[in-house]
Amino acid sequence: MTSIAELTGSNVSAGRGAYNFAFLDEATKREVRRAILKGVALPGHQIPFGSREMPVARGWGTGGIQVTLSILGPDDCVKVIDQGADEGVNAWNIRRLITDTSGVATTVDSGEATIIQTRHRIPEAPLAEGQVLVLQVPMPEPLRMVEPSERKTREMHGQADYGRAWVHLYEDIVSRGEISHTTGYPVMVAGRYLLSPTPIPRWDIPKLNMADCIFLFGAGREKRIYVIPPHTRVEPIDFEDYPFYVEKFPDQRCAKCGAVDVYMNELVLESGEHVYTCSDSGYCDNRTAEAK
Amino acid sequence: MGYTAMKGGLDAIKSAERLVVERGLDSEGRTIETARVASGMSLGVDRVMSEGGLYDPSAAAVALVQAEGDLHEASFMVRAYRSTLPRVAYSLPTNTSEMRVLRRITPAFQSAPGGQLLGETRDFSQRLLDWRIAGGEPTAVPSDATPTHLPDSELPKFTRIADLLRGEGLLPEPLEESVEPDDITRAPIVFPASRSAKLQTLARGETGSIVAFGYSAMRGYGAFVHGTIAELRVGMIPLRIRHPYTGQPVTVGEVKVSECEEFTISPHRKSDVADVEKFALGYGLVFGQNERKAIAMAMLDRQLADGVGGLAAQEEFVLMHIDGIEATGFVEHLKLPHYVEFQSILQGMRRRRDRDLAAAEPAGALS
Amino acid sequence: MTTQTIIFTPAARQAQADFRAALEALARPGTATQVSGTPAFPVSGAEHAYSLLLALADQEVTIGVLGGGETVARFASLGTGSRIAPWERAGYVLCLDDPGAALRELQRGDIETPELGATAIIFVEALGIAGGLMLTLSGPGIASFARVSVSGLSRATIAARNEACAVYPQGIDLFLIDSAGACIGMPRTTTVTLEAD
Repeated sequence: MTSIAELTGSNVSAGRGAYNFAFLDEATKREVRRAILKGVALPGHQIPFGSREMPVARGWGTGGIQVTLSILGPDDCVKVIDQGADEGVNAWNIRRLITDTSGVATTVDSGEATIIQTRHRIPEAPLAEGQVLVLQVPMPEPLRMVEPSERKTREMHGQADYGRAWVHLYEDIVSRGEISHTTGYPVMVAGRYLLSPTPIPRWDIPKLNMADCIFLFGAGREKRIYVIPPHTRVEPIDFEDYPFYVEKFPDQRCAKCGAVDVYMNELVLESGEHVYTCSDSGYCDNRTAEAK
Repeated sequence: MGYTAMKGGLDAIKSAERLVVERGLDSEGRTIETARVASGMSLGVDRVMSEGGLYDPSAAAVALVQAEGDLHEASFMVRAYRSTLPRVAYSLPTNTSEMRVLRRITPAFQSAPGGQLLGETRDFSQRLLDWRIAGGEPTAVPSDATPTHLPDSELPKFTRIADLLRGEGLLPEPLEESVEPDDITRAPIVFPASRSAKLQTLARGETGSIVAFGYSAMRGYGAFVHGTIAELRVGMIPLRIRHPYTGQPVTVGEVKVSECEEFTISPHRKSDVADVEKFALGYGLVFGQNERKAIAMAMLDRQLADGVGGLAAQEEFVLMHIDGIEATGFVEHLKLPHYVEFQSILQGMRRRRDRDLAAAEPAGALS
Repeated sequence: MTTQTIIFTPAARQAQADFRAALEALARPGTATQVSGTPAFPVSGAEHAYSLLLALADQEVTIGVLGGGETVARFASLGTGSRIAPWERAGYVLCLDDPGAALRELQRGDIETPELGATAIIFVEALGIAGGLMLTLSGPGIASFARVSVSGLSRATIAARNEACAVYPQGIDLFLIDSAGACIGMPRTTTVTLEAD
């Protein structure tokens, strides 16, 4: 007896002995690729896409994974980081899904990578033309802080009606005496779309502006893709008398490599002592190696 | 220096995996038999198929065993498996009047054509723990009743209650033509949502959250209190596709579903008395025997259509939060490292603390 | 995870490579990339342009074909699996001739869904050689400005494209691909001016 699958000439289904290259089927990759290209043409605009369920949980990077797997080719070199570290358990889980289904080369050196998938940090060393940074997005909507309804925020973006975001910052100043918003600081892209840069620290925001690389943003659970192309204006929203500022670690230096001008992790040792190290572990390892 | 850089992520994951796999094995290294789970825990299997969005009892049974009974985890595995399957064909619409009925009740009438067929249900059983099960002996089957097993040819004809009301002019006729349904697994839901998108989201939704919203509607947090169930059916419906060569409809299998139809009267009737007031129909359909979900789904179908009133009637609020895989994924993602963000928050807190303490110093005091 | 067989068909491999070329071209308007695919196609020279269409289009979108006639349109429809739509309504339009004013009629998207604006893949004679139409490009993706020479494209096409993209975020997005596979991307965010004759 012939099966329906045989009659319709369907492909081998993955998971029972074989994977399609980079796990996703070609139709899914095409859909993600189409969304990415429209994202390039509409910097900062959130493009809905038919996000697939992955073997990794929703909220744990499925959007970033679908983007990476859809753009990946056999000659790419991939770096995966979480909070700036290659060794994080979730970074490892994502990395092995990528390598098990594609055989692609991996690296911990951000300079060597052609694709870097990241959760909530941008590498310290500026990325170059030809590199793609894929950011995992928990909440793509920058206006969610003021408006829970998707229908309303869609209208607001359509009308470039961002007044309530400014009011939100103003109220923050009134209650705390400063703009206390920390990670995921809202930015205006190409003067038109307000964007959530994902929970990267304010420290990383300036790296988005007029960069040489392409930034791709994938939200799996919320089912949106957006893009910041290279050489594109990205400006954090602020007030003249309350300008945007970044985190500082004026009294700290990395306990491992001695770096001073980087975003740091605070470690609490068994002794109770607090030490600081580079959040970007690859950057730190390079500095340590160079020092030798 | 005195600290250890964090390494060994892969080893940690693999060790954790080994621990959970081993935990579910017996002394001979075997899991519970999936065939036993499929037959002895069929309602768990039904729920996993329903929330996984895939009718495959064997896949659901494997998932339940692999997930050690965690229904959310098992549904997640089925969803992920579903993502890997190619789309072979689209089924033709099935009229559920073709159902091979296993159970049918109608609370709307004491008696209606076909009668009340209780079927396999615990509704009227006493919820008393039977400790004899723990003893491992053969279970004593209740012997003071003999269920009647009727061959299909002798099953009564169950006239649809909704059709009776249509015959009286108290329920609108179905539309002549339907719009092509949306597919929420291919394009994300957009608000305001189509009815097909709403029903699909409910059909795949997590049972507990759907029941909670339905419950809240009954207690006043919706558009109106509650309607009357016209009919609840559990049975097998045929699955048909067009033959890829001949183009003719061909039956390729059957699936078990629970179907609920509810009559409601909207409290928001316009004062224009020219047309006859009619009931509206709320519809619930889910894979397997999962009656509470089908009932709550039918209720929410009407609540969301009405759209006015409490939270249970607000489509964005309900539909965005009832997907079990998305909800549990995001809630549990909080277990991931968030120290980069926390460092930024901590800096701000410390800075404002120092600022506020300094401001609290009496004027002129030097630290 | 145990090692399993990985299936990577030649078509999938080519689609990935062509997509990356398109991504870089659109992200850096004015910088040519290479669309290397040469699938069989009834219009000689347009194989690379068709390769990009194959990479992007499938049954989830509609395609239109401008020029080449009905047999070519049906060939493209069969090859991509996409339904043919009138090119004014299509999501992905393959232009085998200089489209001219037709670009004005393509879908531009809505204010809330500007991504529904059409993508036009235009087969041009040659990119980057002397004697063509001289374009100056600026905007996102370009450090200051870029200059591109295009042969086989008329001033009317550029004028129509600019009109279609006049009210951002609505607009259309173009790929210009020549017979050697050189590809220039022109998203709607790019300001395109013609150099004076």
